Amino acid sequence: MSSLELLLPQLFIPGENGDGTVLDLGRARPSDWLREQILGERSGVGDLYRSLNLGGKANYLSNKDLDHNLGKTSFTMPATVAIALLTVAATAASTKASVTEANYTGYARLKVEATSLNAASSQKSTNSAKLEFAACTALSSTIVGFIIVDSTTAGAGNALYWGTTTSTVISTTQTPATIAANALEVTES
Amino acid sequence: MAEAAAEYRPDPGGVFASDVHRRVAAHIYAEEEGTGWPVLGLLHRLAEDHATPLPPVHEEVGVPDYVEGLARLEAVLADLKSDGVAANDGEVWVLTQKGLDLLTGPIANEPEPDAPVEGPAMIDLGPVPIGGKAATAAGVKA
Repeated sequence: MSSLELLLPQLFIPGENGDGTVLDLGRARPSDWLREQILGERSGVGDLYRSLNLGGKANYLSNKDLDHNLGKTSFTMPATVAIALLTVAATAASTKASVTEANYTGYARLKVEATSLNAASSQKSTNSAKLEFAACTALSSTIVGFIIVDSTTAGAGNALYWGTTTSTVISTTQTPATIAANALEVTES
Repeated sequence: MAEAAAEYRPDPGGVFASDVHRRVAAHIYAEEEGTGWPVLGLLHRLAEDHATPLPPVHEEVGVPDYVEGLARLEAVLADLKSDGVAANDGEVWVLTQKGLDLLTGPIANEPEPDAPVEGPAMIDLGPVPIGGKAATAAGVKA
Protein backbone atom coordinates (compact mmCIF):
# COMPACT_ATOMS: atom_id res chain seq x y z
CA MET A 1 0.00 0.00 0.00
CA SER A 2 1.32 3.40 -0.83
CA SER A 3 -1.54 5.71 0.05
CA LEU A 4 -1.45 8.14 2.95
CA GLU A 5 -4.14 8.35 5.58
CA LEU A 6 -4.53 11.54 7.56
CA LEU A 7 -4.49 10.81 11.27
CA LEU A 8 -4.32 14.17 12.92
CA PRO A 9 -1.94 15.25 14.22
CA GLN A 10 -0.02 12.41 12.59
CA LEU A 11 0.32 11.02 9.11
CA PHE A 12 -0.06 7.26 9.09
CA ILE A 13 1.58 5.27 6.30
CA PRO A 14 0.22 1.70 6.30
CA GLY A 15 2.61 -1.18 5.84
CA GLU A 16 2.02 -4.53 4.24
CA ASN A 17 1.50 -6.56 7.38
CA GLY A 18 -0.73 -4.29 9.38
CA ASP A 19 2.19 -2.32 10.73
CA GLY A 20 3.16 1.09 9.50
CA THR A 21 4.82 4.38 10.08
CA VAL A 22 3.54 7.42 11.92
CA LEU A 23 4.89 10.85 11.13
CA ASP A 24 4.06 13.41 13.78
CA LEU A 25 3.28 16.74 12.17
CA GLY A 26 2.24 18.44 15.34
CA ARG A 27 5.00 21.06 15.49
CA ALA A 28 8.43 21.94 14.24
CA ARG A 29 11.20 19.62 15.38
CA PRO A 30 14.93 19.25 14.85
CA SER A 31 15.80 18.53 11.25
CA ASP A 32 16.44 14.85 11.83
CA TRP A 33 13.25 14.34 13.75
CA LEU A 34 10.87 13.93 10.85
CA ARG A 35 11.84 10.38 10.14
CA GLU A 36 10.09 7.11 10.06
CA GLN A 37 8.99 5.90 13.46
CA ILE A 38 8.24 2.25 13.18
CA LEU A 39 6.19 1.33 16.22
CA GLY A 40 6.72 -2.40 16.00
CA GLU A 41 4.68 -5.28 14.72
CA ARG A 42 1.00 -5.15 15.51
CA SER A 43 -1.89 -7.40 14.76
CA GLY A 44 -3.72 -4.67 12.88
CA VAL A 45 -3.77 -1.02 12.16
CA GLY A 46 -6.37 -0.50 14.85
CA ASP A 47 -3.88 -1.76 17.39
CA LEU A 48 -1.28 0.51 15.90
CA TYR A 49 -3.53 3.51 16.29
CA ARG A 50 -4.19 2.63 19.90
CA SER A 51 -0.46 2.61 20.45
CA LEU A 52 -0.51 6.39 20.22
CA ASN A 53 -0.47 7.09 23.90
CA LEU A 54 -1.80 10.12 25.68
CA GLY A 55 1.07 11.67 27.54
CA GLY A 56 4.33 13.39 27.00
CA LYS A 57 6.76 15.95 28.22
CA ALA A 58 5.52 18.66 30.55
CA ASN A 59 5.75 22.23 29.37
CA TYR A 60 8.17 23.01 32.19
CA LEU A 61 10.70 20.50 30.93
CA SER A 62 10.14 21.38 27.27
CA ASN A 63 11.10 24.98 27.98
CA LYS A 64 14.11 23.97 30.07
CA ASP A 65 15.29 21.59 27.35
CA LEU A 66 14.95 24.21 24.65
CA ASP A 67 16.87 26.84 26.61
CA HIS A 68 19.56 24.35 27.53
CA ASN A 69 19.97 22.76 24.12
CA LEU A 70 20.05 26.08 22.31
CA GLY A 71 22.61 27.59 24.67
CA LYS A 72 20.28 30.07 26.27
CA THR A 73 20.20 28.88 29.89
CA SER A 74 21.78 25.82 31.44
CA PHE A 75 19.42 23.25 32.93
CA THR A 76 20.68 21.36 35.95
CA MET A 77 19.85 17.68 36.19
CA PRO A 78 17.10 17.09 38.77
CA ALA A 79 18.51 15.91 42.09
CA THR A 80 15.36 13.90 42.65
CA VAL A 81 13.03 12.16 40.26
CA ALA A 82 9.77 10.71 41.55
CA ILE A 83 6.47 9.38 40.28
CA ALA A 84 3.13 10.68 41.52
CA LEU A 85 -0.12 8.77 41.04
CA LEU A 86 -3.12 10.83 39.96
CA THR A 87 -6.87 10.47 40.30
CA VAL A 88 -7.47 13.22 37.72
CA ALA A 89 -5.64 13.11 34.38
CA ALA A 90 -2.79 15.55 33.89
CA THR A 91 -1.90 17.63 30.86
CA ALA A 92 1.33 19.05 29.49
CA ALA A 93 0.49 22.25 31.32
CA SER A 94 0.07 20.53 34.69
CA THR A 95 2.01 21.96 37.58
CA LYS A 96 2.56 21.03 41.18
CA ALA A 97 -0.51 23.06 42.05
CA SER A 98 -2.85 21.61 39.47
CA VAL A 99 -2.41 17.85 39.74
CA THR A 100 -4.63 15.76 41.96
CA GLU A 101 -2.72 12.95 43.63
CA ALA A 102 -3.95 9.75 45.23
CA ASN A 103 -4.95 10.22 48.85
CA TYR A 104 -5.15 6.76 50.39
CA THR A 105 -3.43 6.34 53.71
CA GLY A 106 0.19 5.50 53.12
CA TYR A 107 0.36 7.20 49.73
CA ALA A 108 3.59 8.97 48.91
CA ARG A 109 5.38 9.80 45.72
CA LEU A 110 7.91 7.16 44.82
CA LYS A 111 11.49 8.26 44.35
CA VAL A 112 12.96 6.71 41.24
CA GLU A 113 16.56 5.84 41.94
CA ALA A 114 19.00 6.20 39.07
CA THR A 115 19.90 2.56 39.58
CA SER A 116 16.29 1.67 38.76
CA LEU A 117 16.65 3.07 35.25
CA ASN A 118 18.36 1.62 32.24
CA ALA A 119 20.69 3.99 30.43
CA ALA A 120 18.85 5.66 27.59
CA SER A 121 19.25 3.96 24.25
CA SER A 122 17.57 4.52 20.90
CA GLN A 123 15.97 7.64 22.34
CA LYS A 124 14.27 5.56 25.04
CA SER A 125 14.63 5.19 28.79
CA THR A 126 12.98 2.40 30.78
CA ASN A 127 12.85 1.23 34.38
CA SER A 128 15.11 -1.75 34.93
CA ALA A 129 13.41 -2.82 38.15
CA LYS A 130 9.85 -2.79 39.36
CA LEU A 131 8.74 0.41 41.01
CA GLU A 132 6.84 -0.23 44.21
CA PHE A 133 4.98 2.44 46.15
CA ALA A 134 4.34 2.41 49.87
CA ALA A 135 1.52 0.14 50.97
CA CYS A 136 -2.04 1.35 51.35
CA THR A 137 -3.00 0.91 54.99
CA ALA A 138 -6.46 2.52 54.91
CA LEU A 139 -8.92 4.16 52.51
CA SER A 140 -8.52 3.78 48.75
CA SER A 141 -7.97 5.62 45.47
CA THR A 142 -8.68 4.91 41.82
CA ILE A 143 -5.84 6.24 39.75
CA VAL A 144 -6.06 7.20 36.07
CA GLY A 145 -2.72 8.85 35.46
CA PHE A 146 0.70 9.80 36.69
CA ILE A 147 3.39 12.44 36.45
CA ILE A 148 7.13 12.19 36.76
CA VAL A 149 8.22 15.05 38.94
CA ASP A 150 11.41 16.45 40.49
CA SER A 151 10.30 16.25 44.11
CA THR A 152 9.11 13.53 46.45
CA THR A 153 6.95 15.98 48.36
CA ALA A 154 3.29 16.00 47.39
CA GLY A 155 2.29 19.39 46.04
CA ALA A 156 5.87 20.39 45.37
CA GLY A 157 8.34 20.29 42.50
CA ASN A 158 7.97 20.54 38.75
CA ALA A 159 6.23 18.11 36.42
CA LEU A 160 8.66 16.54 33.93
CA TYR A 161 6.50 14.00 32.08
CA TRP A 162 2.88 12.96 32.32
CA GLY A 163 0.69 10.13 31.14
CA THR A 164 -2.46 8.11 31.69
CA THR A 165 -2.89 4.64 33.12
CA THR A 166 -5.64 2.09 33.04
CA SER A 167 -8.06 2.87 35.88
CA THR A 168 -6.56 1.06 38.86
CA VAL A 169 -7.92 0.70 42.37
CA ILE A 170 -5.43 0.86 45.21
CA SER A 171 -6.85 -0.35 48.51
CA THR A 172 -5.80 -2.26 51.59
CA THR A 173 -6.32 -5.52 49.71
CA GLN A 174 -4.90 -4.37 46.38
CA THR A 175 -1.55 -3.01 47.43
CA PRO A 176 1.15 -1.88 46.99
CA ALA A 177 0.80 0.09 43.78
CA THR A 178 3.42 -1.39 41.49
CA ILE A 179 4.86 -0.60 38.07
CA ALA A 180 6.46 -3.64 36.51
CA ALA A 181 10.03 -3.57 35.24
CA ASN A 182 10.28 -2.05 31.76
CA ALA A 183 6.65 -0.88 31.90
CA LEU A 184 7.66 2.74 32.12
CA GLU A 185 9.12 3.98 28.86
CA VAL A 186 10.04 7.56 28.22
CA THR A 187 11.19 8.60 24.79
CA GLU A 188 12.69 11.56 22.98
CA SER A 189 11.96 11.39 19.31
CA MET B 1 -29.53 8.35 34.03
CA ALA B 2 -26.30 6.74 32.91
CA GLU B 3 -27.94 5.36 29.80
CA ALA B 4 -24.62 5.11 28.01
CA ALA B 5 -23.00 2.92 30.64
CA ALA B 6 -24.17 -0.50 29.52
CA GLU B 7 -21.66 -0.89 26.72
CA TYR B 8 -18.59 -0.13 28.80
CA ARG B 9 -16.74 -2.01 31.48
CA PRO B 10 -17.79 -1.21 35.04
CA ASP B 11 -16.03 1.49 36.99
CA PRO B 12 -13.40 -0.33 39.06
CA GLY B 13 -14.09 2.07 41.88
CA GLY B 14 -17.81 1.35 41.77
CA VAL B 15 -18.67 5.04 41.93
CA PHE B 16 -19.29 6.06 38.33
CA ALA B 17 -21.73 4.54 35.88
CA SER B 18 -18.83 2.96 33.98
CA ASP B 19 -15.08 3.19 33.66
CA VAL B 20 -15.54 5.40 30.61
CA HIS B 21 -17.67 7.77 32.67
CA ARG B 22 -14.85 7.98 35.23
CA ARG B 23 -12.22 8.56 32.60
CA VAL B 24 -14.17 11.21 30.72
CA ALA B 25 -14.74 13.02 34.01
CA ALA B 26 -11.05 12.66 34.87
CA HIS B 27 -10.06 14.45 31.67
CA ILE B 28 -12.28 17.48 32.23
CA TYR B 29 -10.85 20.52 33.93
CA ALA B 30 -12.28 21.45 37.31
CA GLU B 31 -14.49 24.52 37.33
CA GLU B 32 -12.02 26.44 39.49
CA GLU B 33 -9.30 26.14 36.86
CA GLY B 34 -11.17 28.56 34.60
CA THR B 35 -10.63 26.34 31.58
CA GLY B 36 -12.88 23.83 29.91
CA TRP B 37 -13.09 21.50 26.96
CA PRO B 38 -15.22 21.98 23.88
CA VAL B 39 -16.65 18.60 23.05
CA LEU B 40 -14.56 18.09 19.90
CA GLY B 41 -11.38 19.01 21.71
CA LEU B 42 -12.20 16.55 24.43
CA LEU B 43 -12.92 13.87 21.83
CA HIS B 44 -9.54 14.44 20.24
CA ARG B 45 -7.80 14.13 23.59
CA LEU B 46 -9.67 10.97 24.50
CA ALA B 47 -8.76 9.42 21.15
CA GLU B 48 -5.16 9.28 22.32
CA ASP B 49 -5.90 7.74 25.70
CA HIS B 50 -5.25 4.03 25.34
CA ALA B 51 -7.50 3.22 28.28
CA THR B 52 -10.56 5.12 27.08
CA PRO B 53 -12.38 3.59 24.08
CA LEU B 54 -13.68 6.92 22.83
CA PRO B 55 -13.82 7.22 19.94
CA PRO B 56 -13.81 3.58 18.84
CA VAL B 57 -11.24 2.57 16.25
CA HIS B 58 -12.87 1.83 12.91
CA GLU B 59 -12.34 -1.87 12.37
CA GLU B 60 -11.86 -1.71 8.60
CA VAL B 61 -9.63 1.29 8.15
CA GLY B 62 -8.00 1.41 11.56
CA VAL B 63 -8.57 5.07 12.31
CA PRO B 64 -10.81 6.65 14.93
CA ASP B 65 -14.49 6.71 14.11
CA TYR B 66 -15.11 10.27 15.19
CA VAL B 67 -18.76 10.26 14.15
CA GLU B 68 -19.58 7.33 16.40
CA GLY B 69 -17.15 8.63 18.98
CA LEU B 70 -18.86 12.00 19.13
CA ALA B 71 -22.24 10.39 19.65
CA ARG B 72 -20.85 8.19 22.43
CA LEU B 73 -19.05 11.06 24.10
CA GLU B 74 -22.13 13.26 24.04
CA ALA B 75 -24.13 10.44 25.63
CA VAL B 76 -21.54 10.03 28.39
CA LEU B 77 -21.39 13.77 28.98
CA ALA B 78 -25.17 13.88 29.19
CA ASP B 79 -25.01 11.19 31.88
CA LEU B 80 -22.33 13.09 33.77
CA LYS B 81 -24.36 16.27 33.58
CA SER B 82 -27.47 14.48 34.74
CA ASP B 83 -25.55 13.12 37.71
CA GLY B 84 -24.16 16.55 38.57
CA VAL B 85 -20.60 15.46 37.79
CA ALA B 86 -20.02 17.76 34.81
CA ALA B 87 -21.53 21.00 33.61
CA ASN B 88 -21.49 22.90 30.40
CA ASP B 89 -22.21 26.48 29.48
CA GLY B 90 -23.04 25.73 25.88
CA GLU B 91 -19.43 25.96 24.77
CA VAL B 92 -17.16 24.04 27.11
CA TRP B 93 -17.44 21.25 29.67
CA VAL B 94 -16.10 21.53 33.19
CA LEU B 95 -15.93 19.20 36.17
CA THR B 96 -18.13 20.12 39.12
CA GLN B 97 -17.07 19.93 42.74
CA LYS B 98 -19.17 16.79 43.07
CA GLY B 99 -17.29 15.27 40.16
CA LEU B 100 -13.95 16.13 41.70
CA ASP B 101 -15.07 14.66 45.02
CA LEU B 102 -16.06 11.40 43.35
CA LEU B 103 -12.79 11.14 41.44
CA THR B 104 -10.70 11.76 44.50
CA GLY B 105 -12.86 9.87 46.97
CA PRO B 106 -12.72 6.25 48.09
CA ILE B 107 -14.09 3.29 46.18
CA ALA B 108 -17.70 2.29 46.80
CA ASN B 109 -16.97 -0.83 48.77
CA GLU B 110 -13.77 -0.56 50.71
CA PRO B 111 -12.37 -3.79 52.15
CA GLU B 112 -12.87 -4.64 55.78
CA PRO B 113 -9.95 -3.46 57.94
CA ASP B 114 -8.79 -7.02 58.60
CA ALA B 115 -9.16 -8.27 55.03
CA PRO B 116 -5.98 -9.93 53.79
CA VAL B 117 -3.92 -8.42 51.00
CA GLU B 118 -4.83 -10.06 47.72
CA GLY B 119 -1.82 -8.77 45.80
CA PRO B 120 -0.19 -5.70 44.36
CA ALA B 121 -2.11 -3.14 42.36
CA MET B 122 -0.29 -3.45 39.05
CA ILE B 123 -0.39 -0.17 37.16
CA ASP B 124 -0.82 -0.45 33.41
CA LEU B 125 0.91 2.50 31.82
CA GLY B 126 -0.20 1.61 28.33
CA PRO B 127 1.28 -0.09 25.31
CA VAL B 128 3.80 2.53 24.29
CA PRO B 129 6.12 5.09 25.84
CA ILE B 130 5.35 8.60 26.84
CA GLY B 131 7.61 11.08 25.21
CA GLY B 132 8.37 14.50 23.91
CA LYS B 133 5.79 14.43 21.16
CA ALA B 134 3.42 17.29 20.59
CA ALA B 135 0.91 17.70 23.35
CA THR B 136 -2.75 17.46 22.56
CA ALA B 137 -4.78 20.58 22.22
CA ALA B 138 -5.40 22.58 25.34
CA GLY B 139 -8.81 23.54 26.59
CA VAL B 140 -10.25 26.98 26.09
CA LYS B 141 -11.25 29.56 28.59
CA ALA B 142 -14.60 28.90 30.14
